Amino acid sequence: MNKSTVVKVQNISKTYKLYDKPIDRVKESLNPFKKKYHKEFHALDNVSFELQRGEALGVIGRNGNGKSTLLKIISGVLTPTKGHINTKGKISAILELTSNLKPELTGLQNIELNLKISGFKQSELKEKIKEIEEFAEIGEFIKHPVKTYSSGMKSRLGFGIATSIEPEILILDEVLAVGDFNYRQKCLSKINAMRDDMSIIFVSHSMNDIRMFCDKVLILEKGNKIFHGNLEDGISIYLKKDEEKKSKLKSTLSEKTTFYGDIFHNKKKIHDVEHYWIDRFYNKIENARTGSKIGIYIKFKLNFEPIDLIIGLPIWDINGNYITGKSSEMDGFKIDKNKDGFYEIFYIFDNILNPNQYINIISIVDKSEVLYRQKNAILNVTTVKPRYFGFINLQNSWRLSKEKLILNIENCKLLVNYNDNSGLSYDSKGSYEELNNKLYDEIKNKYNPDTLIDIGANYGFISLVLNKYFSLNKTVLVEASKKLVGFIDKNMKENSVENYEIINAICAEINNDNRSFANNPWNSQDNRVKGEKNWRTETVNTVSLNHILKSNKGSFYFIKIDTQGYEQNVFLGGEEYLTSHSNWIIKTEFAPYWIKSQGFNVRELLKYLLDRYIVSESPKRVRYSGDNIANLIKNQLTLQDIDTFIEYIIKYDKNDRGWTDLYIFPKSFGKV
Amino acid sequence: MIRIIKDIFRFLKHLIDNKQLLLTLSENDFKEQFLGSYLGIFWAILRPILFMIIVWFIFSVGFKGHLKDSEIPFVLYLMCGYIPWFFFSDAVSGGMNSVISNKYLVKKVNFRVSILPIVKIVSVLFLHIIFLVILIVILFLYGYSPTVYWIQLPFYTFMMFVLVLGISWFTSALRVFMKDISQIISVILQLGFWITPIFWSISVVPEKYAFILNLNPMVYIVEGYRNTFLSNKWFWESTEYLTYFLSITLFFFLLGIIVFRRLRPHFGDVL
Repeated sequence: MNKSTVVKVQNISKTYKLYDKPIDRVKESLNPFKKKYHKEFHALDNVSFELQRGEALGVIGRNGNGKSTLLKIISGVLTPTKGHINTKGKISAILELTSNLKPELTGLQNIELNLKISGFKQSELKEKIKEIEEFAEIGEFIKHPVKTYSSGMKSRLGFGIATSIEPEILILDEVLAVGDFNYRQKCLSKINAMRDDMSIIFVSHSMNDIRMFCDKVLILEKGNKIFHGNLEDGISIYLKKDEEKKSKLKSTLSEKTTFYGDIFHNKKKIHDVEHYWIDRFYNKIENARTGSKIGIYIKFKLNFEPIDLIIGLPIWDINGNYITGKSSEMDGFKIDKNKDGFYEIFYIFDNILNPNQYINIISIVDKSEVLYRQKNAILNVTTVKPRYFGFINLQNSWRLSKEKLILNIENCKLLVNYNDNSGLSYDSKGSYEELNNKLYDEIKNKYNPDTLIDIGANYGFISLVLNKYFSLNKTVLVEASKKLVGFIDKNMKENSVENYEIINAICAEINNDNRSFANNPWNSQDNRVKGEKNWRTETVNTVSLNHILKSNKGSFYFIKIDTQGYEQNVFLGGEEYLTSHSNWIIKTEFAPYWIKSQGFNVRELLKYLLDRYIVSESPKRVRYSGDNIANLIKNQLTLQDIDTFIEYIIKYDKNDRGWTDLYIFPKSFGKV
Repeated sequence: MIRIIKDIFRFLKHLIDNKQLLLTLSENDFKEQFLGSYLGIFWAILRPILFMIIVWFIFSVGFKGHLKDSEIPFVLYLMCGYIPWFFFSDAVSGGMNSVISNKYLVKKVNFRVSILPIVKIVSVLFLHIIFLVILIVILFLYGYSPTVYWIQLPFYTFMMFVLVLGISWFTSALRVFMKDISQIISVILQLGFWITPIFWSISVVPEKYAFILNLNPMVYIVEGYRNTFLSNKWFWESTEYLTYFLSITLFFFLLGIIVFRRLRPHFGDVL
């Protein structure tokens, strides 16, 4: 055995002999001719592994797959049928919670007895007893027989004893499954304090506990070792296996234990029901990453006119913890059918769920009548992060000062102003559409833009992201707010963006003019060119898109416009160039509410754009869009569509402030 | 065989290393038996004393003149027989249950289950010592004074201990798998009481039957106690019977070790 190896298990098998009568066992073991009297059950089959000093090994596997048998063999309670086991050092095991306590003896006597069995000398006893008494917090009861204890007291005492005998190898079989939060914390911190000179073998069904404790994982399945190694790999293999098994079995133990409410389907009233998890492109998924945008898709048809249709979407984790529940009613969302008579719902959220498996109930209710209540498919959430704890991944940030904060978003370091809502919005988002966008890949491959014009640059975040996507020679950032210029400059420098130019101006229809510009009173950077009455105004120079395009010669332009309703002026200022060239693509924000607030006519603006260019909705919403350029052009807006489109965008928000992104292409794109 | 001898030595070393533990366990066992009740240990002594008084009363008052040719008072004769028998019977039945009644220790890491019968026998030995003290007091009352023969008492007690240990290893291991063994043992013990010369003398039995009765190893112990306190004989004086006793004790001892060793790995499966 290697010096640092403390447990060496070699080809261990445990076969339980099942005897019809107990006496058969005696007959067999005493029979000189080794006659067999039993049927066999293989609890462990040829398992080998080593445990190193100081290592914590998590043993996982479903019930009845040999975990406890393995632990019992290592601790010497059971004898393996075949194979060898070598252990080095004092072993302490909690196999069953109270297995080291004798009910007739008092707590104190039990402590003493256990210490003596573990070889403590009389002189060492006093101190140890005190230590255990303090841990167990049993008080006066310590002088009473253990059989009078509550189960909590027993387990505290048992755990206290097992960990106080200074074991070199500690074996824990689901001990933490019982007990309240405080008890668990206490146990965990006690074990953690001993970690340095102790090896641990730990059985648990809680992947969180395994993750918190263990360096390595051993997976047992039907008595066979199917994996031994790295923690995260092990857990993901286990979860995958688990999932496979569950889908085979359909109903499983852990699911059975949780009551998700009645399962019901009124087939007379509701039919053609379909539901599944979706990603942000509305594709059906079974797996999702923590931090991505995902959702639930529900489609159904009703045989009657509902009075007040409500959809509830409670979510549990596989262990039966009720994670969250939302209903369309809570969010004030009204459910309506589409032209085909189907009800189609897309429930989208930032996936802050930590890796686990999630069970979701789709419940469709009309007023108080339950029409449908069924389980959705299981969602398997994974992460690339090496560690995570608990149920959810908070969208958090860490700050060293109140004023400024630096966000680290997908490798972009973004410095923003803390006292600023739009800056904070970068912080709270779980995912960014700008990232991993298939469209950007396509644009890069087909057109390879070398110049980026970022109008309404805000903190320059989009420029940072696009600099990662495209191989740009020049980045031009236009921002009206003087305060933001410094931030943009720092952000560009910090992320080593080469050759950028910041223009502190309003992008307008005329070049080099003066405009008044308003900051809103709560100091948001949500700037409005025409602010409301009490907004603080300043005077800013203007720059026209034509001027920018002419003074920054590039082979292909990607232009991003985000000017909070001032877009019409931007387009007017670029009309001359845009209509006569075709080496550009524009992505612009389209927010009817803000356009109106700047005194423009939404319909006129769209009509103006449609007359000159190809306009499509970016792949954000459902209709008028596509996830590649060919589809976008195919699904482009037409004059007939304008009114329905505007109404559809406005309705996207319950306050009629819906918005979307538009992609605008030169007319010539459509002819290809 | 060599392995077994090695094991015995290792076991002895373990015993010596863990004598403290052994004593604590025996003490716990002893206390547990008697300390729960109000009169405690008094009960433990009362029962056999009462029994001896009854037997004494019946045979010295009822059937008078039982041990005619002897000058030994019947009470002493009876006590020297009954006290070792009581130890034997108590230790055998206790030893048999020693494993099964200590499940919590069997499931313990680092614990040698084979010491459990010893623990029980030591616990019974405490009581035996109390009886020996009582016996010696009564001997004094009858005018007996200590003789050099008394020093062989530890020999007989020890031999009885070894005999009981062998039997207990055997029965305690079987008991885990077989409930019936306790019935069998209680029948044997009951029978043993009558066929052991406790209140009668082996000399009243005709020669040809005496040989059969002498197969009972407890005859040697009971007679040995009498030889120590009453008849002033050395234990080596009847070589033949000593040899027989030693071989039967060795037989039980080895049987106990072999069976216990064989069955020990299966305890965990059943308990």
